[in-house]
Amino acid sequence: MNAPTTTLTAAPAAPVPGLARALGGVWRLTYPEFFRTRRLLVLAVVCGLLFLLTAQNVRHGQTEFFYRWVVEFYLTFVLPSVALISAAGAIRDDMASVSIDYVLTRPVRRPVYVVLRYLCQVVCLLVSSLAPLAALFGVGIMHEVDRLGAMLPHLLLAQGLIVAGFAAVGFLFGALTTRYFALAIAYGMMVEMGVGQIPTQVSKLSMTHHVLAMLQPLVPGARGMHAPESAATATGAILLFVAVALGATVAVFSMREFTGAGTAEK
Amino acid sequence: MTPIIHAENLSRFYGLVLGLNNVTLDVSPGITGIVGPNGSGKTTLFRLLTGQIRPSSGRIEVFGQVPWNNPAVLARLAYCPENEAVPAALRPLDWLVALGQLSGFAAREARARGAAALERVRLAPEHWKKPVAKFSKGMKQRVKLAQCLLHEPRLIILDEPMNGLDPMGREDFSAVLRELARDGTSVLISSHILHDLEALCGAFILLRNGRIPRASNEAASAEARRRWPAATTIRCDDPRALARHLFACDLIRGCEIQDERGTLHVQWSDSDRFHADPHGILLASGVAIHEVRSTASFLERAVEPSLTP
Repeated sequence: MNAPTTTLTAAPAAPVPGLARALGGVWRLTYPEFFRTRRLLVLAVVCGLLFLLTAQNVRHGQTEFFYRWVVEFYLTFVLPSVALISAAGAIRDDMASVSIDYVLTRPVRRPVYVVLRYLCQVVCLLVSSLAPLAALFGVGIMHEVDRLGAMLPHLLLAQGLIVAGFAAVGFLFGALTTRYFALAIAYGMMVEMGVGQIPTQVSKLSMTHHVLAMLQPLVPGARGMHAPESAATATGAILLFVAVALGATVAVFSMREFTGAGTAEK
Repeated sequence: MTPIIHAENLSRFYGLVLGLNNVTLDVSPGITGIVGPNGSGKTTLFRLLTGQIRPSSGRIEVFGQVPWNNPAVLARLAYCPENEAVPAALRPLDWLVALGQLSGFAAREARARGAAALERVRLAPEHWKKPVAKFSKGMKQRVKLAQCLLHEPRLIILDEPMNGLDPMGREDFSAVLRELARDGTSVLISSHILHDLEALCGAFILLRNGRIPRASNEAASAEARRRWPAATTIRCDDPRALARHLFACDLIRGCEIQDERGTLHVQWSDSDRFHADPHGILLASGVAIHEVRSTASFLERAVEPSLTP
């Protein structure tokens, strides 16, 4: 059989990838993976455990203890861990062949892709983190904790800041190494639990420090060792952390070569 | 004709492991086959072309531009990888819409193009509602080809796209690729199914151990393809008598006889003279002939391991 000959015709105009369309594409790739049945089951189990653990520890009418539990256990331990590990896993998945071969061969610049991916990841994390907060509030209602409605906006803001900040750090760790879990533990122990507890200015390097300082005057039971911060100051500080971590991730991701098959990325 | 791909002294090493070694090549528009055994550097070449990795040394250009981190190049090409990894949770059309949006289309247009692409690769609509991850290998190959067609690329790079396809599926694939070539899209395709490549491709690049061995590529050149086969297998009643006759005519330089099968493998010393009058020569031998066929396709001959750079 003769090989077909090629007739060169006028080339169709290459599509121009706009930011909004690229965001739409990344969102369509992100949220179905995030809300898969298996993941939702895991989320349900986590919420159930959180509910049981909280219900076990909080007694009827212990308003201050309830909020301290929410802030110190959930907001400064559970949520940061989940946000960081989930984001690190997401960017790591993007370095596997399924993303490299189909997504990174599209005309979207890698820095743009990383930022869009981060935004979609944070939105998905924020949506899914409403469930554990609802579980905690369920315990609060059950034990007739005071001022739940008034505290909700503060806790939602704190939740948003924690998710945004730790997801950015997770992206950086995931982009840097496959052993992001070990890096996350080291970071948590050294920066958030170590440096963040030192009663000097250096504690401002800890993201949870800023969130605690913001919640201190607002939420009963939220203890801070330093001067309280306004919501705007805390938000600005966390956004600075996000910018630095995301900038570093963009730099690492953009320079990285993908040798494929989910094996040796170099 | 201006080449769409130009590589000069191109090398790529992974530490001490060789990917490509000092390769110089030009690829013209049309369908070009990339042939070589596993580990010969085909996928490394594709990753260089799609800007996923950079050369260790040398230069590579696609449409006259360096592909590394270059959206202008990526907007004009499409890549179908060899591996089967696909998103776990997405249905084919949803996946194609997402990829179409990343290529710059609005969601509605991406959906229309995605549906058209799935129809073009003949993925039956009843499968459109299943997650791609649950597809058979052949169905995945069709979806992987469909994602290449979304944005009407000028160059499609296909790494082993025929794997897992049945003969009808391969023919469907070939038909789509021929249509694309007629419409002006260039295709770079690797496959281990050599006779499919022979039927499909207008040019070939043979790789071995990260290099382009000159002898092999000459054997696969357009000029070589016009030559008569250098070896032929003949099934007959009396292979020994036939061999004596062909030797007497000074037509062959060597032969192998398999009496039990009644076959004679001959290597022609003057292939042109035999093929000018095969019937006359064979009839003159007086031996009853049952089958005459080329021992190997030109591409199989070209990739024979005995040929060294």
